[in-house]
Amino acid sequence: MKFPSLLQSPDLRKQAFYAGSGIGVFLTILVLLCAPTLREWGYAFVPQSHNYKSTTDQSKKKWEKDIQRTKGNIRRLRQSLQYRLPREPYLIIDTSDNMFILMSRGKTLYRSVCSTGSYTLLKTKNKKEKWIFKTPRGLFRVQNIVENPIWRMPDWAFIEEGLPIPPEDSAKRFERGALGDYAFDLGHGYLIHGTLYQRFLGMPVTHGCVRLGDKELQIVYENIRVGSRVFIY
Amino acid sequence: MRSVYFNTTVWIKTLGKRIWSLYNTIRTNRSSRVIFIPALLILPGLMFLYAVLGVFFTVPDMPNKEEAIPINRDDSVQKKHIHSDELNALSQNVFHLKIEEMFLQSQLQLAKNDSVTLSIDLVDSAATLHIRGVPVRKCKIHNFNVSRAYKPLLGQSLLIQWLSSPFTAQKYWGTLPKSPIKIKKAPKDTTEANKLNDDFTTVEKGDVYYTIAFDRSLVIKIEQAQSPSFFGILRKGHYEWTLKMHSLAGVLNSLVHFRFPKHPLWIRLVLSKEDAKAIFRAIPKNTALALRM
Repeated sequence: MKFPSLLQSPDLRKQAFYAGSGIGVFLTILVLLCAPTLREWGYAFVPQSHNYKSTTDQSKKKWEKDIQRTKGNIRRLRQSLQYRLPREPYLIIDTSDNMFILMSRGKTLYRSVCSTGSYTLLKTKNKKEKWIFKTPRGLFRVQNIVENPIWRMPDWAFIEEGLPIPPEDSAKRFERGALGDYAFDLGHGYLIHGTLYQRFLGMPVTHGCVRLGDKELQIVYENIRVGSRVFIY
Repeated sequence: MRSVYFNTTVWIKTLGKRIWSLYNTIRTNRSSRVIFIPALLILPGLMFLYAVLGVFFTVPDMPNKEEAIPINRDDSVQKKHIHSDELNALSQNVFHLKIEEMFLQSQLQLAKNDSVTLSIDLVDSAATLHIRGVPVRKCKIHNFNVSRAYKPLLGQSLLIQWLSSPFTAQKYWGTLPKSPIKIKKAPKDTTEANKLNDDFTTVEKGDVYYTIAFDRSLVIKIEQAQSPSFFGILRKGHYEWTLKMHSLAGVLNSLVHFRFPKHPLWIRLVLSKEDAKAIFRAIPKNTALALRM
């Protein structure tokens, strides 16, 4: 009941001051909140200037020369950018939509779904160890291609399944067929491989590797070689 | 509950009566009016002058006019000011070609970057993600709006200079997290593990609205073309409120440091939800941007 009691002050001038200041503070906050919009409206009244309009017949040649020179530069720059496109087939992996594109010289050869990192942070009970399952982004090169790969299961694979961790050289750590027919090594433990869980393709469910369907894996195997580029975003 | 309602009603009625009596006092009493009107107008008026009109006395983070690339290098002939349509067309052509040249140069600079970079071409209505200069995703811009603050810069060599090098991202605000990290505690046994695995196999379905603040006063606002869901509207409201608060904090910060606030040169892009999300997730926090407009 503070505000009304202020308005009840016997001094009429005090009443007017308090009321004016109170509404003034409210209007100030309103002005500050609306300032970006008000500024935008303000720019509608600012005249547009064209400093490139003033010229003479004498400078016409210079303009034309300038145009020719700039066009030449643009052509050169476009060529430099074009030169950056890989000449051999390459893979583009979209971790947001879980799609991959097999490309060659800027043209799409094949496009389909894949599975990428789940962005899960797995923590052990004592919180001493943790792993984040995300697919790294950037440019990679295929470092090795393995046919009929065998998966050597790391510790997190057992922890995630609620199983006891076997010793390093235990036979339980090795699983045949889980990675499909081929595995493309991208370095730092990341692979592009097949999967037993085809129904999860198109979903972010992996531990950082990229999973492809059987047919897609075969197509990629036929086109991608050691040294081929893989762009992941 | 009833007493609270009753008290509130009484409070509103009392306040209404007092406001009415104050209005009558100010209307009839001259000395009250003389005090009320300045008390009401001084603070918002000063704030209007400072936060709204003050911006027009400052130039956004752009190079000095002396540093700007002169389009017409022949100063001696500029005095004559002959405006022929043909020459105007030529000079405009040079202006647009220069902007294209700067855009391509920026793209080449971005190609040296190892991370994912972004290029926005408003002329071709395309936003493209690049890795090492190779375009990996080209997104169609469905619609775009540009701040009116660009108006005085159009046709100025200052604008060419502003666009001549890549912009660097500094801050992000959005309705979705940059990294959708889900925390999973190690299960006790296989039964719990199976249950957990089912819970974690989900596809994210949030609405996509975000803003990226770059250096040199550039702000890019990206919105999905699809209309938002009910929760999306709530999240969007919260996000817009956060942006307003940030803007307010910026003005107050400038006030504390005795500087005029800066008006961001914003560009609002409307992309498909998938494209908007892919860009947001792909670009690193300090991503670089090449812009053509």
